[in-house]
Amino acid sequence: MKKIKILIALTFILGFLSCNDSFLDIKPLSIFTPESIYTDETGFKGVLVTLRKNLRFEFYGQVGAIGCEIISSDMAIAANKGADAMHNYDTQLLPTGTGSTYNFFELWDVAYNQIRNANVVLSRIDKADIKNEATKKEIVAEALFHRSYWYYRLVHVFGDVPFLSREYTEPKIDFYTHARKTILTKIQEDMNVAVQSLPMTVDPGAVSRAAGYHLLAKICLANSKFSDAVNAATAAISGGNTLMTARFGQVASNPKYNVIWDLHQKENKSLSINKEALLVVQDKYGFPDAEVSGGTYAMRRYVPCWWNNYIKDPNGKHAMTDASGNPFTILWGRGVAYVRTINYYNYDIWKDPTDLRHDTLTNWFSTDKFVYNNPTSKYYMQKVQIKYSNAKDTIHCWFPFPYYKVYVADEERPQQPYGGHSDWYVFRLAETYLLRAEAYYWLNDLQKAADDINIVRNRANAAPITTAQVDINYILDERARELFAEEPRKTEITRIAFIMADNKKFGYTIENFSTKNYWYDRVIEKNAFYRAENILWGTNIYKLSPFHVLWPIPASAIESNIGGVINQNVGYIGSEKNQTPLTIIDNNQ
Amino acid sequence: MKLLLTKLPGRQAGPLKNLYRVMKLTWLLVLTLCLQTSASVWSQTSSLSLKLNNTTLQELFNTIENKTGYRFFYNNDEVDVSQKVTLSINDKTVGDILSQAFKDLPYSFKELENKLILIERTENETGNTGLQQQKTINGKVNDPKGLPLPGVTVLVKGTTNGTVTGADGNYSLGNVPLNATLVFSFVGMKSQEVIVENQTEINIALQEEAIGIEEVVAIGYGTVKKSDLTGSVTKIKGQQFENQQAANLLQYLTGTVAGVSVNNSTSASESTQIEVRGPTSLNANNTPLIVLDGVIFNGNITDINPNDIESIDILKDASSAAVFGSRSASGVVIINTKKGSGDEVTINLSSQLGITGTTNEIQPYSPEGYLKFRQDFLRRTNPSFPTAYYDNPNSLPEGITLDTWQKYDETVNPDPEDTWMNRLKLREIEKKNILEGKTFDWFDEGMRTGIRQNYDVSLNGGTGVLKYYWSAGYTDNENYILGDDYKIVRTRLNTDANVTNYLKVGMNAQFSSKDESNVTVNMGNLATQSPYGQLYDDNGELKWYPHDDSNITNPFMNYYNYDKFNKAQNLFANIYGELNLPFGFSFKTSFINRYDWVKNYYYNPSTTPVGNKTMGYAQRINSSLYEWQIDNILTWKKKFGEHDFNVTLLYNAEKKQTWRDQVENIGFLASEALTYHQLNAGSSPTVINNDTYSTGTAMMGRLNYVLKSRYFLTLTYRQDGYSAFGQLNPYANFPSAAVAWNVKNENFFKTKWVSNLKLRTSYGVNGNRDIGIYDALAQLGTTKYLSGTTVVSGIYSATMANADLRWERTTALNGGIDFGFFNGKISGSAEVYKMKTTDLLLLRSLPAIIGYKSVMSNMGQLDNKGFEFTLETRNYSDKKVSWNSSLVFSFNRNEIVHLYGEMVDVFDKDGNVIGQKEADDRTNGWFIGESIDRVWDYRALGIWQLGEEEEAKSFGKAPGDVKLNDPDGNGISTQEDKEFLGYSKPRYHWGLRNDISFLKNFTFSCFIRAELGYMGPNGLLMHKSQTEDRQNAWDVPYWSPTNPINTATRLNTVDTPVFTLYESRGFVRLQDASISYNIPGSIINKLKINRCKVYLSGRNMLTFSKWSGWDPESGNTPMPRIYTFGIDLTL
Repeated sequence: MKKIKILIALTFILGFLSCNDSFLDIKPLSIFTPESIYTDETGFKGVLVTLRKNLRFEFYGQVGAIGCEIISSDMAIAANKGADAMHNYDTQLLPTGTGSTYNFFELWDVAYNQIRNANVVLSRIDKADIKNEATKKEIVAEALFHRSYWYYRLVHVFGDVPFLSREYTEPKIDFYTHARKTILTKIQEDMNVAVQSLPMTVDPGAVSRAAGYHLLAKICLANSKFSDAVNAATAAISGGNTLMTARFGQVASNPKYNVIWDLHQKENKSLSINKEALLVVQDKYGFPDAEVSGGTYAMRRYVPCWWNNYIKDPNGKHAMTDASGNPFTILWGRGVAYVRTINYYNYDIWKDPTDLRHDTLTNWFSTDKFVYNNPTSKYYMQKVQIKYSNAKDTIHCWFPFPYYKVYVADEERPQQPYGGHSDWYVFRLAETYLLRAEAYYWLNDLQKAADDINIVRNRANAAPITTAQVDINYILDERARELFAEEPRKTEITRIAFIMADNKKFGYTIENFSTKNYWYDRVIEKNAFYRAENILWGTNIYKLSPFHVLWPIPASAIESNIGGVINQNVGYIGSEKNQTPLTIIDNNQ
Repeated sequence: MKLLLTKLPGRQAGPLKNLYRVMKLTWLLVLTLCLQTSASVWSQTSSLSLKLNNTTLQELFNTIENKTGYRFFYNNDEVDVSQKVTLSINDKTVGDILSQAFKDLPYSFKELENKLILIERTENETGNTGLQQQKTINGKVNDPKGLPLPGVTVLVKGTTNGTVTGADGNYSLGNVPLNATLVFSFVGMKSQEVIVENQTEINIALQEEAIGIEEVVAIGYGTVKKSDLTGSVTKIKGQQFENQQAANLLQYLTGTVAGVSVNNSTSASESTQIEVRGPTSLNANNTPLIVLDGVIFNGNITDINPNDIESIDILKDASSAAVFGSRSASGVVIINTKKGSGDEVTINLSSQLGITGTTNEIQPYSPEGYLKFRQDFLRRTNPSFPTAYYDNPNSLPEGITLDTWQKYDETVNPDPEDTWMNRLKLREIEKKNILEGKTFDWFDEGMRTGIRQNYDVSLNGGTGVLKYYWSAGYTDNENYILGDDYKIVRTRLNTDANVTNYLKVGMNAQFSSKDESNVTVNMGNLATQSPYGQLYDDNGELKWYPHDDSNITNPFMNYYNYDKFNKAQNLFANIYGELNLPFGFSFKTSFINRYDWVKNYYYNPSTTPVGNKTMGYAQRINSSLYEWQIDNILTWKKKFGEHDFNVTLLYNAEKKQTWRDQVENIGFLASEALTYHQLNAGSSPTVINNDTYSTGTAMMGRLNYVLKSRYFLTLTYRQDGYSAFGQLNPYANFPSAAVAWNVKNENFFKTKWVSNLKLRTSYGVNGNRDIGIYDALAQLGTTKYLSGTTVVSGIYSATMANADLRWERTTALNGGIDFGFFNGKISGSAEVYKMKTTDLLLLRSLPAIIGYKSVMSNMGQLDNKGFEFTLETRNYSDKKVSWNSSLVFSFNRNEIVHLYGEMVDVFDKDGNVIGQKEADDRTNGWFIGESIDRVWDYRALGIWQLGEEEEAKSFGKAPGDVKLNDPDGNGISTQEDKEFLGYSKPRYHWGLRNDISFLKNFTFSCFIRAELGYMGPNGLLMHKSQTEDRQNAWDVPYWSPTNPINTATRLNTVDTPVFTLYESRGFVRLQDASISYNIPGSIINKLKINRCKVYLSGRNMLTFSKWSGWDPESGNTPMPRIYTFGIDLTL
């Protein structure tokens, strides 16, 4: 009995002793923590990979931020018929949200997430163990690039926004808005530093010095620093990159195609011989962890919804089918026209018959290529006569498209392609020329502007233009011809609108920017749908207003920032509470 | 006579046998008459002493006949007199001798007149007792004061033969065997057993139990008598639910316990949630702690077989739950399983067979309705066309000729019907099937009457020092939709052994194996199928897209094509040793182990659209869990005169580890034959894994002190440590105190009609630690990217750290009263409580620009208060009928008192600042001063009607869209227009149970439940879809110019801003009803069955509600309606 008692007592005491303080230590077995990762080069380079990866988000999926930009411009509208498709900006572009299909706030969310990632690098790298100073500078340079890239987008889409210059490791809910000009000045400074250390040559998907100069050129333009813009663009152009003027890549030996075709094929975008590519986001089929789920969806986004019972044969029968494996379904792609280009892009800008970018033989898909593809139709394989269909339905089902850009063979859905996996250009040297042309234009050096434009036109086998033809509208036309589905169109037009307002050109001012601006005037001039203000498609008419030059700041951002004030853009509910934006950037915010 | 019968040669038959039969009938008549007039007449003078070793019955009879003059009658065909017996009798009556002789033989005997004894083969009662002289016992039952006691149950022990005393306390019970024992029982009284023997009149006085019901209640790390309770604990006995089939024991608790809320489950697995009192947390889990056979059970409640439940004790107040400290803020559910008892083995068998339908049915459109719906949808989305454009050419409206109709568009099609179908955008396959008159009822194909089966067997008994309870059960539930199947095998072994008088060791172990390998057909997908589509294509293959629309996949695609294997096994075993030490001390050590293994594999072949994209897709998830706990408990019980002490000290440590491997592959180009069994056959594997580790410690002390059986005190103190919390606060302390006063036991208390009166109050602190075990850390996420064709790894900060993270603390005050009136005819209890939870574990919303949407923090305050009332009544009882009821009622009110402490200005109408208040969290829908479940949304005033076009236009709406209230009148719907509309959780809970016994062996029970005062969104009222010109939909009302209703929107309604239409969800339902019949012993005993009960029960039979969707409780998920037939056997 006594023995047992002693034994029990011992067990009891041992029970206490065995569980000393370290017993309660937290042990993250499968989770990386900052303390273990943000310590050396490897950790920070891991963050850079995330930053590079998230450059791609807008080019893939159903509509994407770039789709929202293009329908908010002179080039296109949303042909989706749904009640939540963005048609009437007056009633649909609201601070509380724009729906999930056309999500105008995705850019906001992603941008600030990437700014956080960049700030993690910038705030922690000094405490890390990186011996090689050059490596450290290179990492900092790329982090600065990404932060600048997203702020460049934010100020042109949302105007004045809060600038966060460091990583926050504890909650903060009292942010304030910074002035657009303050942010642009800051990111120009940052990029001036970054371009010194960005590497000349990089692996596909990474940020080269030329890409840095390209971004710097855009920022300089936005800052009305036109000479700086010329210098930056020149540095990008002379940094070893050239326009592709000769055939290359996958089908280089096939005479049916041409260099413009080659340039936009998915196999060729990241090739090392492709000297025109400055920054290319990566997506290839066969890497389930790394690829974008579903791929580019490029046909779903840019190709007409030709198959959805709109198009009828002379008997009134539905003569088109998206049946899986139908040879034409495979050839054309199963589009739904989330982004429906309008006459301005489809017809008006293509005056030059030799322009390869509108070569209807190979590169361009004109509507006369559509044939009745439904084998049950009496008119099977005959050319579609659109007059037997409802005229209005052509909004959704009937328009041409740049086949060489938007047709992406679909490995996931080969029998019914939506647009498969492909790399995508973010920055391409052709744009650098057009940026420099624009800078020369603002500097009133029209000859050099024409020269730069002609370099791009020349490569596309289009006739050169004269200095007399150079104006900002022409530059935007050329950008449309060259950069469709690559440039964030609304951002770029807004940038130009700000340049005009900042410099009081053409009667525009910054004071009445929300009621009169170049973006609105150009969109209304070129985009007949928004101009008409009475075209009802689905449940809403197409309509927008001058203040939509800036999208609303998400109400959720304003509301969750209880302790401070994030300004709303003028024109939207909530802007009456605005405060004067900050003009000094420091680490307190 | 003697000659004729006993001297008959052994095998004689023929005419004599027939003669015997006639005589037997005669004798039976005589016998009946005799029993009425005289009882046993065994003469004491004819007692005998016998010693027979292996002697035949014949010889025994001869001996008795010779010695006493009794003579025996029997039939040679029935009685085998060559059977041998061994007897050693000392001075016993003939009756006793025969009883003993026939103990193991199937014979009974009856004494008739003239010293005749009739021997018969037993035809009723159990076969192993031969003594079957039956008689009627009469008597009277009094209370201790000598007053008649009505309603006392009188039962022949071990049988179902019984009665109840009448208003005068008298009873009369027939068919009582001579060797029977009568059991007298009555609530609040000690049960009494009386051996019948020679008595024909048994009068007894029942004694009151010491105080109230001498029931033992589990309180965590120990038990107390219910009468000694200081806290709020509800006890439920497993018996109460034995006519109900449930795969998950929580289904027993839906509405039956005041303050415990459990929803009816809608799935085959009966998964559901339980909440005790109000929600004490906004983010952490509100599920109560489960304690199984005295130890904390962190496993899944579905692993416990409901048939093993002996009792459930629910600790509701802070004081009683505080012994579980950081685990207890959401209450504690203590489950005790059945234990071995007795020296013999008892076998229980039960089987249940049920069918499952639904309480309501909403169908997709019929073939005709589909076409009409299509017309309306197209008219809605193409307003520029003439209304008649979509009309059937065979029934054009007046004034419109076929020619006009055809010329609505430019096409030239000689076949108007074809034109019509084209205009309706019907697919070729649909057109073909319309013309051929072929339709397919997808809903009917996918829904079914599910069969539910449940089989249980248990052994209960003991041998020597060892007692055991073993059970095994199998449940196979099919739900109302194809593929929602659930199978579970559960077994349990409870043993204990009193090794010596001071050492007891034992084990409680359970094992379960669950199979959820089936793929459920998606109900929404059934509704979108065209009735003119086809399940199979012309080759007999399952069609991917039944009407050739690639947005509408075949609902049976995965059901028929997936290869799935999903099994989970669980072993929970608790080994303990208990030592009784001198001076009232005892010490118990428990070592508790839990293992979980889950295998979740599936293969999606290239014959499905999704699998085809990747040429097959395989996934294997293997996960396992091991957790141990050690409880060391020292208790001291001592009574010093009127002072009764009970001290409990606990030391606990625990460790839990989980491992999870997920492997996926695609591109099974060579062969798909081996499916998930051979992932190597794929071309692009992915590996994901996740392991976790957590530890905890606890120390607890408790004192129970009772003075003079009137005054009760409980004090507890617990300290908990947990690894998941920020390293700054690894420990937390939880004190509590409770007192109770038994007024009834006071000498001054003289009111006779009050049979119980006790007042209780308690105060204590509880915690909640139920968050992700790594939430305190800043976590990094990983991602994969490409550089050319090289995969590179990226990293990013996924969450924000909070080293300060600590427990949620709930302090609670509880007041209760227990009462009983009129000898317990009316009894019950009432509770009031107030709880305050601080340091809430909140996923605090952050401005997303910081890079994180939220961070886990301790902040804010949440209050709950409520009232619970339980009333049990014995409404009526007489000899034939007894009727008992129990009523439970409860409500809880909660209020968010503080959130993040950020102050914002309050403006008056003109925009002037008139003060400050704490900011709400609109993102999460949390408002200061409001309940968590407060519904804050736009108020729908109805539907914009024709004639209101102009007003609607300002909001971007048109007739048929929802008319949202615009309190500020600015003509735009903004967040500021949102209002408090109601509550999304029931405001009042009612439950009423009635049990009626009648015709001796019948019992009828029914349970009516009401959940009142709440609302929910009903998506069926909103027709937002844009693609209904391609698919079918639920046949529910919608607004149209010709059907201008005010409750549902038009088709393709404008849904900005995002709004919701709400409906009242309050309901009253007949949730459970059953009728059971105990087959009388006279019928079953010859089958060696002690007890046999058959019953029929139903669940969710009738529901009353204003909800227009599927079911008010489950929203738009169908609620199963279940009918069960069951049979219980005890051998």
